[in-house]
Amino acid sequence: MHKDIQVNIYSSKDIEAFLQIYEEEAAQDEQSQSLKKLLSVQDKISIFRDIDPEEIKAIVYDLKFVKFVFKDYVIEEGEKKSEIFFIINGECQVFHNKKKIGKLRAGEIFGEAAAIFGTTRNASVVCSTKEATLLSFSIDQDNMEFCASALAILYRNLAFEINAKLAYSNEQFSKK
Amino acid sequence: MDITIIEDEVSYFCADFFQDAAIEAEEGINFIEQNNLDIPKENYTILPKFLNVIIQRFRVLDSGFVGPLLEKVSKDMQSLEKILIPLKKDTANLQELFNNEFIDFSEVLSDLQNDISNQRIRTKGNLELKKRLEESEHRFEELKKIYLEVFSEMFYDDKQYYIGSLLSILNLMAFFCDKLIWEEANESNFIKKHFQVQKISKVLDSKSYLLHATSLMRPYTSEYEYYQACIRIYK
Repeated sequence: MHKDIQVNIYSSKDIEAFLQIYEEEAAQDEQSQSLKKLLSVQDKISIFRDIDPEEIKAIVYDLKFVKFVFKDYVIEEGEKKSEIFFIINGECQVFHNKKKIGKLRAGEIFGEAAAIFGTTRNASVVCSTKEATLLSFSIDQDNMEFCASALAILYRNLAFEINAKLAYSNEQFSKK
Repeated sequence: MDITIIEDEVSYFCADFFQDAAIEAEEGINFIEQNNLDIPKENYTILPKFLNVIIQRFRVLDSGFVGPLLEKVSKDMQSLEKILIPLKKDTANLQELFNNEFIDFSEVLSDLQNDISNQRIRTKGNLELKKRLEESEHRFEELKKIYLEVFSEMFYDDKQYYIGSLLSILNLMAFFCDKLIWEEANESNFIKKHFQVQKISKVLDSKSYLLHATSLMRPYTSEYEYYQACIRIYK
């Protein structure tokens, strides 16, 4: 009797690799659901303006929808993390040196500067409504070789975003 | 005639016919159950041909491509196909199988058939023997009908079970093979560079590759239709 398939040749390490595939698959399913939602609001996210949806897929990773409740810290000043947040609903307040310096509403994005420049967070962001849903994601900057054009547009959009924030801060500062 | 005799004969035939498939199926299913592996809901069983093409192409691009696990999975996938393709072909026509193989296998039917052949030789010109021959032929045809009914039912059940089991194992192996190929491809600078230079896709996975390949193909050819069918698996 000849034997063709030899399932007994798989070691416990191989089985672990198989199980790992399931985990990755489940995470990918979640990612693709989140990605669909991200692409549906792409035009509302300023840093993704003019970027091909296929390219967004290639540069964005660790996408997840996160719920926060009142007083939850979304970002803590001084921490070194790379997520960028987009507010789907709810509001957040921004604190610097424990002093309130601003408010973030649905449709606004934050955390992008520290994420892109690799610096520590320069302010804390706290959920200020009963509940807030945020879209969190990271940018794969190592993908420059493959997604140069998408990342170039992203950096340009980011420059506009930072410029707008600076202009707003200056305006607030001059009012005082 | 006692129906259990017929059922026993059909049962022996099925056990003999599916002997190899039964061992492979049992071993594969035990392996899946013992290791709590889930068979994917999507049908990856049509993928092996495409996955083999990918493996060959990537091997050309990167000689280090195909690690030990991918090698084992891909070999199992090919072996399963080697069992399944002839098995599906050999079991496609039950009537033909019954006439060509089962009648010879069944002692009752083959004895009767031999008896009829002998009677035919002796019958020439003898009216009484001719009448007896017609009766035997009639009996043989009646018995064949009963046998065929039992055979169709029992053989069909076994066929469904063994082919179904082997397809489940193949589905799982093709799923793993697909994932392992792209896992390795994403770690290969040669392959990543090839994707970039050829402007295939920024994402290295089967769907992107298939979409790129079909965009270069002449539509409505069998290869194009096959690749389109593969794309549908990935929704």
